[in-house]
Amino acid sequence: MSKKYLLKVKNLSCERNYKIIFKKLSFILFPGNIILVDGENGAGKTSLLLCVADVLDYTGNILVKNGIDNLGYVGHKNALFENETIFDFFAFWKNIYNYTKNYQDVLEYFNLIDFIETPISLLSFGQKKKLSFARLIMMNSKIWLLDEPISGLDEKTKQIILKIIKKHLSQGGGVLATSHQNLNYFDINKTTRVKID
Amino acid sequence: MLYSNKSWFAVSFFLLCMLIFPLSLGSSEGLLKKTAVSSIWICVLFANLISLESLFKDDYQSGILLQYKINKIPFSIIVATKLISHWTFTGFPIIFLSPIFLVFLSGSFNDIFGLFFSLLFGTPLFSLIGMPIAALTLGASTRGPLLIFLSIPFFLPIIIFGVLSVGSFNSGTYSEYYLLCAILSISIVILPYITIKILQESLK
Repeated sequence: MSKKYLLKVKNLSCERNYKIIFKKLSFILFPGNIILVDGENGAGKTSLLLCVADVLDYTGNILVKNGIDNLGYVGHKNALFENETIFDFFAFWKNIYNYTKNYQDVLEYFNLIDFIETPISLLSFGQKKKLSFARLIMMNSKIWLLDEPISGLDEKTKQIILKIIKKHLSQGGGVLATSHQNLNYFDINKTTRVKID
Repeated sequence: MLYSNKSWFAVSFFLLCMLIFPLSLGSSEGLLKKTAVSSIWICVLFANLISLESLFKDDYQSGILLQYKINKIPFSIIVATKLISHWTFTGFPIIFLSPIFLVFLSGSFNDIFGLFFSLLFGTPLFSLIGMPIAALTLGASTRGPLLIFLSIPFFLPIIIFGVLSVGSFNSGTYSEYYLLCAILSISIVILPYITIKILQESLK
């Protein structure tokens, strides 16, 4: 059992600007499972994700399963070049992730096929979010770090996003997600809750 | 791509700046002739300052830099690409435009090659020195003015030796060129490395 983990976090503490954000967090992410990080605004949910992604300094241990060298991340900022078109976006990230399949299917899935020549700055908030998830799919990583994945989205987009997360979990991937809302959409046996206060 | 093209800002700003000198000094032709090289160098400085602001800004604000970091894309590639593209769009065209403007400003024909080579060594230095400062000011709220105040002192030696080198080209001593080359070769080793460190720190 212990060898099958995707991500193991032990006694993780983070300090930012001489202030302790969280102390001694421990959890294990197994394939097909989702970990939901609860906490108020400013509690350090995003910092936790950035620690796991090795952006912030931390103390403690973070073990990622051998063979996973890339973590998928969708944050508050959508990390899109605002003045590019969707076509440019796919052309760029396809090369970075060596994505060989046809990205038209991804576009079709997200209902973005009609906007392929539209500059990203003209897209709505939800459409930009969908584009960040499209990048996540192209990346093909086992571990997804999602920062408030469904906040601010309408019901239809929310369902689309949840469907991909569920598909990712069913394929043996793992998700570490933060949310200040209740995310009660997942199998309760496969959900772990971590509280930061 | 129509929306993304900010690259012509620097060159067009240079052209506009160049217009001001003959208009303000036009009545005294002797003065314009004497200050031709200096005024070109001043305009190069301004054009570089105006383009430095947007060097890393969009990448930082939209979170792409963070995405690069998480995806483990080496920052050395990003910094090298930024440096080359920044110089290609601000330094490179200006090097070739400047000899033409030297003639417009009724400068001496003898200075054309001197100016060309001094800019050839000087403009990459502007890009190199500006890069870490642009990275350093990424999080600051009053970024524009801060960037200018911080970078001008570091640009001063380049301006001084750049302008002096044009004179020394004609006398055949080349000492300022050697100095510019020395600064350039040190900068090209150290400054991109410093920029990478600052960029990584800026994400924390």
